[in-house]
Amino acid sequence: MASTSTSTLSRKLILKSSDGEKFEVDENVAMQSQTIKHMIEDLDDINSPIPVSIVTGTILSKVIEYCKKHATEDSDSDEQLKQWDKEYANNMDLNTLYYLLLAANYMEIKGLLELITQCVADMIKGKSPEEIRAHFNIKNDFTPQEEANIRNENPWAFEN
Amino acid sequence: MKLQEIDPSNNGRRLRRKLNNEEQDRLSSLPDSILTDILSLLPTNSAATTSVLSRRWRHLWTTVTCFQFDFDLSEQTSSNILLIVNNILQQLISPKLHGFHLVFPSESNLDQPDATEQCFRTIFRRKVEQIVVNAGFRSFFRVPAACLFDSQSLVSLKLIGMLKIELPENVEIRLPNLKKLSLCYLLDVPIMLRDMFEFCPLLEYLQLSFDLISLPQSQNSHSLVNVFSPNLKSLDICMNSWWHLKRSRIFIDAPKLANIRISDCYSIYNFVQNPTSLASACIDLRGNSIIESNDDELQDEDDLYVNGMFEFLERMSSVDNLELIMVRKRTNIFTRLGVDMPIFNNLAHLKTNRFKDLMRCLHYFPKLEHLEVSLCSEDYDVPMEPRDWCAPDSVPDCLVSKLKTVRIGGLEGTDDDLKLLAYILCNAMILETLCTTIRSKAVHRMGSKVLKECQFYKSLYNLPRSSSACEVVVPKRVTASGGFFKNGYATSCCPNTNI
Repeated sequence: MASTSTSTLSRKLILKSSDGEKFEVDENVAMQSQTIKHMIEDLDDINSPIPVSIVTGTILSKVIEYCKKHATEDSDSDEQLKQWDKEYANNMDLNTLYYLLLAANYMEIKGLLELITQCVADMIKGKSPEEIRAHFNIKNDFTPQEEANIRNENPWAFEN
Repeated sequence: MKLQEIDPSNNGRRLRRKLNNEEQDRLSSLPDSILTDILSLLPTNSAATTSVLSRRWRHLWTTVTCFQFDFDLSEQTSSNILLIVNNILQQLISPKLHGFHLVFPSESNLDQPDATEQCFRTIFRRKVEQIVVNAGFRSFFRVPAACLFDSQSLVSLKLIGMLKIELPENVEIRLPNLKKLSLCYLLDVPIMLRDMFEFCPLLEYLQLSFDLISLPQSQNSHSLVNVFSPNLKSLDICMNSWWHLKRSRIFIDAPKLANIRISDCYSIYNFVQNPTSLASACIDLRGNSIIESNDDELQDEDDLYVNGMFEFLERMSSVDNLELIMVRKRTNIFTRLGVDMPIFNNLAHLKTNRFKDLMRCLHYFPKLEHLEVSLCSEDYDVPMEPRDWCAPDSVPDCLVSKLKTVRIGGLEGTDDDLKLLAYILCNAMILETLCTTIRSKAVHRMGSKVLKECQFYKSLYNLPRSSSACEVVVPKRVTASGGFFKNGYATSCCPNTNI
């Protein structure tokens, strides 16, 4: 009894990244992506690789790492899972975070998208405009006069 | 290969693109929708600071779908704050606003409902789902009820302040999608609480916190509050009053209720039908009653109260977690327990502050695994009631086969206490932990000898234990100073394994 139920659970899918790397993953891991879920529904042959066209292998492996962790719900408490999420996000450099954001957005993985948007939001929170520019390498293309005018529009935003 | 590591997005085409020495500004190149999501997670003032970053960011913040502003430390007046809020709301372009979170400085004055009403009207046009307004718990907040309690979109509403809610008579409440309602510090009992829950059919979570500065207008009617709510899962009522209230009734008809938390020394609660899904109950009957009247005149009223609350407790027989905190003996519900009491078949955790008749009651809790009794009484000068416990006629099932932990705090260290602990240790077959503390300044009572703390623990430690795995845990200060116990902790197993 038990063995038949596990065999149906662990159906494998192959995901193919934009640079041709292939990943074999359990179906329930891949199904956390709404995009892949919809692709599978339209797919006749489940054994052919599923292209994840805008995501590179490096990023896709990180996405899969997240999905694997969140596919096995029972093993960890909510608290442990949150802690894992936190460490997962903290270990990413800015570049990786951007590509993860794009990947999570494209693959429609709600939890991952929320995690990374929160992580970027936390980087902006409480910083002055100058600090934000420095942190994210944003080039100021306003003249000093223009910038002063904008600040005057909403002075409450710049009071600290 | 090395390049690929630097830029994970590399593919054939991008490989040829030159990498700048400087890191690129990738954040600005993200799609608007993602940036909106990021900015929506920020307090609105923080989101608005991004307007000066660069032209790309000039108007992005106005697309946020959530308003949050904390004026707690601001020196602005309430009316200025409302002006700022209205000004921000006008700049936000999203047709849909998910959340509206506003915090005022702790001593504000929102006496003019018209001023806040304008805000609420604006956000209701944006189909707001979640509202949290914290006026500060010492701020008077006259709630524009007619406007606020009429919304198709509202899912969650939380108001904090000294709330005054008056609904004009001809106005109807319409909150068809409300799931969560939290009203903290109601200055009186609004009449609408008698029937408002009919108009929020989806309500799942309800918190009502009263801090009555005037006697309820409805004091003479049959009931004060009627929580008739078909989908309610969690109910939290806290009743504080600056006056001595007459006993009045609160009716609850919530067949899906799973959690209940009540802190109230005045009201008599009634379940209209059994809450069969109830899993957790925390009933604190102490309230903040400073005055506990000893008038014999009130005896009848108190009997009515104890009987009423006993019936209320009886209906909770499905719980697995029960916390029952009672005032002195007059309202000790355990003494009321009789033969018609239902068996609490799921109860695994029990926390209470009364011992009298508790041992006898264990018969009604056959699955009890964890018992915690905190006898520590807050009223310092009042002598403890005699705990004269008596051994039940037969040993309760839970004691023999279920009970794993027993924690008893606030004992006086009398012979009687020791007899009780001996009874537990002798009959509990699978007990893992017995944890006790004596009140450090235990009141010396007539007729019973207060043993010195260390002697008491020493005797306790030498009591025979039926469970070989049982640890007896006593406070560190005793083990550290006593010199009697080795290793600082008297937790080693059973000295008399043959018993």
